[in-house]
Amino acid sequence: MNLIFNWSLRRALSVVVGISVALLGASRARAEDDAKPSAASAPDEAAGEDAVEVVVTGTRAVENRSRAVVRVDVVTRAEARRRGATNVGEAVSGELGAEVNPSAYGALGRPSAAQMGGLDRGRVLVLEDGERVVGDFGGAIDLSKTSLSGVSRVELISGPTSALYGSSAMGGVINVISAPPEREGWSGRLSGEGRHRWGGAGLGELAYRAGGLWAAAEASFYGSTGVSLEPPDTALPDLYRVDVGLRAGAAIGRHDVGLRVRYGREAAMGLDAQEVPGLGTFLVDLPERTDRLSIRLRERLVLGEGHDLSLSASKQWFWNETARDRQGSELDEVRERFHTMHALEATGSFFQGQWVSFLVGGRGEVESFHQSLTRSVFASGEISTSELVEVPPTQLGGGAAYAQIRFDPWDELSVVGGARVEGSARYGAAVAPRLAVAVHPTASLTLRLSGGRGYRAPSAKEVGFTFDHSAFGYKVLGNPELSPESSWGFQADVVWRVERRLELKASGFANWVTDLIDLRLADQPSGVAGVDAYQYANVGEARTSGASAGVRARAGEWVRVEAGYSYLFTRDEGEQRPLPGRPPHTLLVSASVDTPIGLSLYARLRTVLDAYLDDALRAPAFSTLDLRVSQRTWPGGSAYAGVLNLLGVQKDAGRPGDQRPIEGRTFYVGVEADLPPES
Amino acid sequence: MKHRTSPSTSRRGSLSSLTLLLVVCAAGAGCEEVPSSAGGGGSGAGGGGVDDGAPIEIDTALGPVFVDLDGPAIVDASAAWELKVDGLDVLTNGGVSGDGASKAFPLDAETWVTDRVPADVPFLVEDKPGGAFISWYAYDGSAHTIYSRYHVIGVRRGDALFKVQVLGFYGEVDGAPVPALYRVRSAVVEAAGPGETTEWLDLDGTAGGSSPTDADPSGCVVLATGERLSLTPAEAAERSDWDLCFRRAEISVNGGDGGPGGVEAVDLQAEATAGETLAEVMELTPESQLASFEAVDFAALTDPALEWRGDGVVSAFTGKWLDRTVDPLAPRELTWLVAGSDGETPFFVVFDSFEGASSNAAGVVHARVKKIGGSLP
Repeated sequence: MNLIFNWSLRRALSVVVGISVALLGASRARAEDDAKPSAASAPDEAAGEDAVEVVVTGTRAVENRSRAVVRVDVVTRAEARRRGATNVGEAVSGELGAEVNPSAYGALGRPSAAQMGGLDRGRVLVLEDGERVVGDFGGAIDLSKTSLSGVSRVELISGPTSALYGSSAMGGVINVISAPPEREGWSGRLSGEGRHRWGGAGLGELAYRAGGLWAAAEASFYGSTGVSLEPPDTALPDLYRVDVGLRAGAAIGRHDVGLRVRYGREAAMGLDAQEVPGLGTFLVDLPERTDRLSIRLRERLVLGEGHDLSLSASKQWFWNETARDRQGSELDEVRERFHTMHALEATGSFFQGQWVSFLVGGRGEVESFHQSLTRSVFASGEISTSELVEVPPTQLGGGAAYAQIRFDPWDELSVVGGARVEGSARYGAAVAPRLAVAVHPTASLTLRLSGGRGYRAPSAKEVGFTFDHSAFGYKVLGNPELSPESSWGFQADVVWRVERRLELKASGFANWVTDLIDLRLADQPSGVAGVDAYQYANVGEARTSGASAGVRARAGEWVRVEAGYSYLFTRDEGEQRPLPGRPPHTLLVSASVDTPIGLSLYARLRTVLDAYLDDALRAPAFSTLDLRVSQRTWPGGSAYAGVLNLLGVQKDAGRPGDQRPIEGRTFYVGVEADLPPES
Repeated sequence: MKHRTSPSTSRRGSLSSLTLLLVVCAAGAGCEEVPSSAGGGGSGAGGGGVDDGAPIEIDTALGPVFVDLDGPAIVDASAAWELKVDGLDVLTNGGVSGDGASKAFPLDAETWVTDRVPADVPFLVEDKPGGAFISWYAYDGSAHTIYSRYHVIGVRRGDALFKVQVLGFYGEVDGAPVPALYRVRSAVVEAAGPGETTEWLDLDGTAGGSSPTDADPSGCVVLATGERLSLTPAEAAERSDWDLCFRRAEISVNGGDGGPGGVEAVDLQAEATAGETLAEVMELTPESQLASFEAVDFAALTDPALEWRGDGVVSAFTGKWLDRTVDPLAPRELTWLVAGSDGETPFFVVFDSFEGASSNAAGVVHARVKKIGGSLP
């Protein structure tokens, strides 16, 4: 029985790639667009040069990145393309400040979740245009479920930022940012890509702009065949993902209104072989479907004199259905999860551009969640189907107020202080202050220091979960009495632009986390002899710290090189051991060559040393090497080819905790073009 | 092979470790918990300062006796007791035996002189339900799968003797594996030789599913006739005609706390349990273990050293605190670490001798008790 997946993958890929190629052939796009740095991609295109890049996530205000009070790492769309990325997870993967590895969350499926500052899952906040993304897997937001269509750049901040963004901003914040079309009139982009292992991706964007009015529509497709490390089990399932989006904006007078609607569906089909003593092997299909719809409406009212007011209303729906569908049997099970969030937020900025400026805001949100399991079982002589409510409909509502003040007394000094107070009927109040200082003693040197508090509110699952596995001797129970996890964190970094073509940077951080939520034996017995009850509780403490150093250099007009090293220390204070699955040493080197004839070469090496798992087990070290070559072929268009993980390192399915990539070596070839052609 | 984890994985691992420790300790092979005397209240081998503890006599002839170690004294069941000496067993006031927080753990006899909780005691053992079938399976926590250990279990109803071997926990229904559909082989064992082997297929212990209620019946059998019965726990508690009941992963006998039938059982390979690894158990098959089943004869089931028992409660002391290989029965030379009923006060207990022990009771138990220092694990 096939509950979800009924897609002929290769046929669909062929259609997408074919259409893309045909469209490209018909287009006469401008030739040099890729070589021209846009506002968003400039620093990557011209490291250390005089281009200006803006960031918004660090202070909720537009800042010149090189002079931002809080360090913000940026992955531009161009850099994501160079990395061969088809989704945000792949785009962010390998950033020195963020480990993204689907192999690290095997028990949860295959989410590409980020680890920042040694913290992960619900301790890293993921935003889309500043709005928190819901729909986690065991606390982890799967970045691979967000395609790059419509994405302008991804901003990353390490360290606690709950003073601005509230819950989950402990280890860091990832903000996926879209942007209005830059060009007047019609514009667009098309790309098509084929892959081996078999798969492909297609993307189309169409936009229109007339002065302050604009609209953009995006659609993307991604599909890939699964990976089996221990046949017939699939480590990665057959997968297809479709995203469509619509954005529009109008800047009329003092009003700037924007609307964003985005829908995505991902369907997957895995296979599990169940060995049963005395009976042999049973094959179980593992279909999964995830749908996500988000709508956001915002208005920015320009009050003049450096004052403005922003209002936003948003709603997200997340549906996820997984099944264990036994081949040739009706004894199946289906797990359904439903998660929604609607939020209203208002932010006022005052005296922007002056030596003292303020930001105040308030937010109210209501989050709903429930999870159920429908099972057909044979018991006491008959087959019956029943629904087990694993998390009853749970609503978490709360309100928050935040304020931030910024001092720029001299060009050389900026100071930002702020705090956020969040209240919830479920867990009481949480307060998160933050202070950040940036010093620019010379035009080429930036020193930054920041410290603050982060927290993570208990999830609906941790509050209301019931997982009855009495047959195996245990139950897992939610706990309505949980308090938020909280942390103190400090960051410091220095950036020195030695000269126009050379930039050195170094940073360090430390986090202390308390009240970590984990499972422990429940105070109350399970009520059944021989069955232990485990319950979520605020029991853990941990600390993480680390440092990194990097260099960006440009040799001549063609060659750019970037290298960095990061060190991470973690400690579970309760267990007196490192946090498992956190590689302490990571090395990243990339080089690109952009020739005047339109030929570009790119290489990227990432080395991750072995990581603690338990006292007898370590995750093995590994290196990945990605290569890409692209060539401008016709006006506005280019063709490219590349290989991901050329070294072919791959996870060993029989080795618990192995974080090497599940995918082996992957080759890809594609074409892309910008529309219309430049006059 | 899958690598899922669950809270029960570590728990089962702990229990396995515990079983191993108990057997090693019981065999006198040397538990390593003896700490240095530094910081301890006793002077160790240095002479004269050893606290011999307070002696207590526990007369079990008239029934269960409750002992308050903080005295020590014989007390009423309503008082704050730590140990309950009942026949040939010692239970603690915790787990399924009482409302307190008592637990226990066996240590080398020499530990007595240290007067402190050894630093490396891994955990204490709480009382739990159990019988001869308590260790019939090994559990693979990574795939949530139960594997039979293929131990041969002797079953005794009056003079009738049987041998039973569980062959599997899973049956197939509608193309899917269903847990608690047992496959079992059994045979009558007489002095003239074993009777014909009966193989039971799909013995229904599903009991309504993974979370059975009191209204869901167990699958029960009468070994002598081959009859199958479907009995709720309440019905099983009233009837004496069944021998074994299968309910999810538990197998009970109609004796002791299990029922009124006077049926007793013994795991003939119980001593091997601690040394069996999951990987080894996973390799076993009904065919490979047929020989061990067939090897059990009348002599094996009438060995006087066998500890026949109905269902009941298993404590840290069960089967470990006395030596059945000697006549008369005698306590084993161990020091018992016991947690007080408050769960915090540690005691050492030694059993020095039995007076008037019989096959049903230890008679008058001569013991010594002392409160010790240190923190319980």
